This record gives sequence, C-alpha cells and structure tokens, in this order.
Amino acid sequence: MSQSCSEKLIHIIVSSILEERIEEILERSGVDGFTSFDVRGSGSSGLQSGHLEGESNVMFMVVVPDRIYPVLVDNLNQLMRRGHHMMVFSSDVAVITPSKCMNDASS
Amino acid sequence: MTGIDSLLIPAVLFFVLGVFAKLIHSDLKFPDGMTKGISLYLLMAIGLKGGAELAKADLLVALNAIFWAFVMGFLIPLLGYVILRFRDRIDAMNAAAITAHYGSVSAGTFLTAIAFLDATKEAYETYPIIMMVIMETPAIVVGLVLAAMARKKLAAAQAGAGTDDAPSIEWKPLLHEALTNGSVILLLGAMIIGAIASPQSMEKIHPFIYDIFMGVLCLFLLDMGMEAAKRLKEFKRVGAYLVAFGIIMPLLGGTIGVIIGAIILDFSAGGTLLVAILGASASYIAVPPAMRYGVPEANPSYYLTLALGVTFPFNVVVGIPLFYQMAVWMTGS
Repeated sequence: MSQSCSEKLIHIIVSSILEERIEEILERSGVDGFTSFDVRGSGSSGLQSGHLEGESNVMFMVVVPDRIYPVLVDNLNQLMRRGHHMMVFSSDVAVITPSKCMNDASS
Repeated sequence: MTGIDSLLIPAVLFFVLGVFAKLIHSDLKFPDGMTKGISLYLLMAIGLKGGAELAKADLLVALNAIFWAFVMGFLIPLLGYVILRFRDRIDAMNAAAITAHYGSVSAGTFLTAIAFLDATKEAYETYPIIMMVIMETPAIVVGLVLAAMARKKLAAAQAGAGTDDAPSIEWKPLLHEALTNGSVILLLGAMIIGAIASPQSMEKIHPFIYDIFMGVLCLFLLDMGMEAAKRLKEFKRVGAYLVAFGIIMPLLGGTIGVIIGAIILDFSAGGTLLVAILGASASYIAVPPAMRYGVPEANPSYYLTLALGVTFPFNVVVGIPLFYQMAVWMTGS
C-alpha cells in the first residue's frame, strides 16, 4: 500500500497586480513551492475577463504542512486587512509524492 | 463630415460590430493575451509616430502643452471627486479610484479620434501625443492622495471609536507603480526612440507604425466593443448615479479640453479635438491596475464598468463628433 501524508491545500484567487506580492508572502511564510495560473471569473469585484491588466486574476495553489499553515494564513490576512479583494480557501489533502511530504508524521 | 457620417469609419464600425456580436451572444472571441499584445503595439506605434513628429516640433509650444497637460491631469480628477462626493453619494475610496481614471487618458479613444481626423482629412498638431504621456501619471497620484486622505480620516474616526488598526500607507511601491507603469514606460520610451532615431532608420519601420496601424486599431476596437457590451449587465450593480457620472464627466472634461486646446494652446480644430479627448476619456489600461494596487478598498467593478462600459462607448459614438463640432466652432475653422 502506498504511503501518503495529510497536508493543507490553499487556493488563493487574487488580482494579477498582486502576483509578486503573494509570491513574497509565500516565501516569507516558509512555502518552498507553488503553482499559479491565469483565471477568469466574476464576483464582488465584477467581471474579470483577463483581457486587460486591471481585470486579470491569478490563482495560486499551495500545499503546506500544518506548521506553516497558520503562518501563511496570518500573512494573507494582513494583506486582506489592507482592503485587497482576495478569495482564499483551504482543504485537507493527501499528498502522495513521498519527497513532498513535509509533515513529521505520515500515514 | 458631420452627424452619422462621422461614425462611418472602420474603427468605429468595428467597435459597433463588437457590441453587436456580444448582444446576440455570438461565439466571436479573441485568443487569450491578444488584447494585451495589441494594446502594446498601439502604444508603441503612437509613441514612435509622436516622437518622430516632435523631433521637428517647436520646444516652447511643446513645453506649454506639457504644462497644460499637468493642469488637466490634476484638475479633472479633483473636479470628478467633488461631483462624486456631492452629498456623500459615493464613498471616498470609490470616488478617489473612479476619478483617477477620468484624469488619465484612454489611448483607445484617443486613437479613434485620430482615425476620425484622418478620415475627415483634418490636420492636427502632434503635441497632444506628448500631453497624453504626461497625463498618465498625475491622475494616479491625485487618486492615491485622495484615497490616503480618506483612509487617514477613517482611521481617526475608528481610533475615536476604540479601534486603531488602520494600515500605514506604503507610498514607495504606490509611486513606483504610478511612475513606472508599463504603458507610461512604453509610450515615453517609444517617443524618445522616435525622436532620436535617424529618419532613414525610421523609414524602415514605416509599414509597421503607419500602414498597418488603422487595421490593428480596428481589431482592438472590435474586442473593446465586446468588452464594453459585457459590462452592460454590470450597470445595475453600479447604479444610475454612477452611470450618469460616466456621461457627464466626459462632457465636462471634453469642454475643458476644447477651451484649453482652442484658446490657450491655439491649436487647429483637429488638435483641439485631441486635447478634448484627453480631457473627456477615462483610462482603462493604465489606471485600473494602479488603483487595484493603491486603492484596494475601492470596488473594481465600479471603475471598470464606468471607464469601459459607459464613457468609452459614449466618447466613440457621441463625444468625438460632438467635441469636433465644438472645436470647429471655437477655432472658427
């Protein structure tokens, strides 16, 4: 039976203007890798069609161990308190790649 | 060329086609990133053209035009802010972000006005191109300062109410964003290149900056027509007061531009129309990113819907022929 470990998957949907800022926050929080891609959609900030710089969103996917999770959430909250519109949500995931298991205990 | 004739130029007709395509739910769509690429081309071409012409220009007239570009860049957003804040209709943060768009310039509208003048065979001065470059930045600074003042006031009120966690203002990245904005760098850089490059070397890129320019502008306006139509359903969210502002503000700004162009700068009717468009148009390329970064409390759907969904179509269809008539009347040509 293959081994896996439990970690948190965080999705961050944010204006592409803040892309570098989010990368800095991830680095400062101790995250050593992420995936990001351009996304479209609509919500409280109106239509985000991705056609012009001011209406382009980017989505980050980050998998973090339990010890980094609260640090990252706190740092993201600081940015949101400044008024930046962001959609952040997390879920529990099972990481299968052995070298990516950062939690101390694996199941 | 007046009335409906003035609208029968390819650029405007492609804009109308874009709106129509979206309204009938056509699957017409531009590939990802194409609009951003086209807008880079248009800014580069207009910068090179302007630079080449300015190399032959009168320095004193250019300096005078630059001075009045600064005046318009600071005056128009302040005027817009006063209108938006009248009787507390719009909150200070949204008012600051919206008004910054009106102090800056829509390159798309400006280029459509050039297409209009080319079609009418009306000559125009090239100084408004450098005025356009200048006007990109002051309005962003005005918007950031107005927002900072509102934020300070709000923080003081919150401190009085026992909460004191107002964020400090990070001026350095904000000013960096305003002054190194991609479109400012590209326009200014292309203008300098156009001014210092030898006429022989400029001749080699003539097809790139002149021959295909209007065709590319048509493509851009086709996509902008579709983008503007997509914003129609956002009108409800924005509200009647802001939609009315999106029409009144270009009328005020355009009139200020006509007065400055015709009386103060003594331009021809063509040049005056271009100054009017500088005053009437609202940026939807350079300013939205700056406001999203610098005034995050404001709702982007408000300023994007106004700049792209209300003011841009208004200027393309009504503003350009209207301000042209005013310019002809004021210059007596």
